[in-house]
Amino acid sequence: MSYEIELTDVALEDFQNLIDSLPTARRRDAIDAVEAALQRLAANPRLAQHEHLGRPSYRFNFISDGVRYHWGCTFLISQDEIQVSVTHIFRIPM
Amino acid sequence: MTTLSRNAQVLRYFLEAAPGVGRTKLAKYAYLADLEARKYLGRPVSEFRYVFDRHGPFDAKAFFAAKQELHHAGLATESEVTIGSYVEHRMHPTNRAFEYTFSLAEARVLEYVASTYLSLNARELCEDVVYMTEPMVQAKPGKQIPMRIANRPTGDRLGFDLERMLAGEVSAEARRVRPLSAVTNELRDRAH
Repeated sequence: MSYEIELTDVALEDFQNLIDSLPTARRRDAIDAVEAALQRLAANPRLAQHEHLGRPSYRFNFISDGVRYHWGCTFLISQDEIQVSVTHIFRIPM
Repeated sequence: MTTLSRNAQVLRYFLEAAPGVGRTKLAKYAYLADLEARKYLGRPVSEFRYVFDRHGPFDAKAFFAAKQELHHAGLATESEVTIGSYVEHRMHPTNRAFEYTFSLAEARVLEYVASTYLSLNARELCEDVVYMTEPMVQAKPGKQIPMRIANRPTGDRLGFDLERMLAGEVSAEARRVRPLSAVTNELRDRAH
């Protein structure tokens, strides 16, 4: 069973800034790709790595307009194990 | 209110986390905290200037000055324990309360170092952790350790930012959150 996935106001701002940094033609694909990636995370958050001071984090990549992007996020799992709250979304240097 | 240097505050923090710790391990915890802080914040927590000493990274002059500061402020004591031919100097925090001046990010770095490395014995801490860190790999015995190479690369305002992650954690705790589907629908509307 999937967790409910939600974004904090900080992660939402990160997401908006990342989308705004893309050429207009690539934004829609990027939004779809991030949504799909976060839904995969919600299906199995225990598979995440632990980095950034031991916080669970999840890396994903997607292709838009022939260009591959590498992004990641950090998140928290609620104590009742119902929600995954994304705390920060960021670009990963390759 | 007692005021302490950054160096003394870092030592006192780790003494509270590991009462009775020896000087050598204490210096290594400070080194690891500075390394993590440089990695995520681009600056160290303490003002130690580490040299590749006989027992690893150490700033003898600043360390002993910070230790004296703690003793004078009544915030730490020291005992000697003989182990074979070796005398270990163990440091203990006193019960006197102290208010640290660390930022939230610095406090989380210190917590991380304490929770990750305090359970390791001296050999594991040295051989498996400290001596494997990049500045120590590049350091020459007796010389200053090139700590700056641990500083995070700057320039990507959209890259990982520890302070933003911590702000996000505060938001999650305060329930300043929105469901993913609501966010993506809104962004799709904006993207048109």
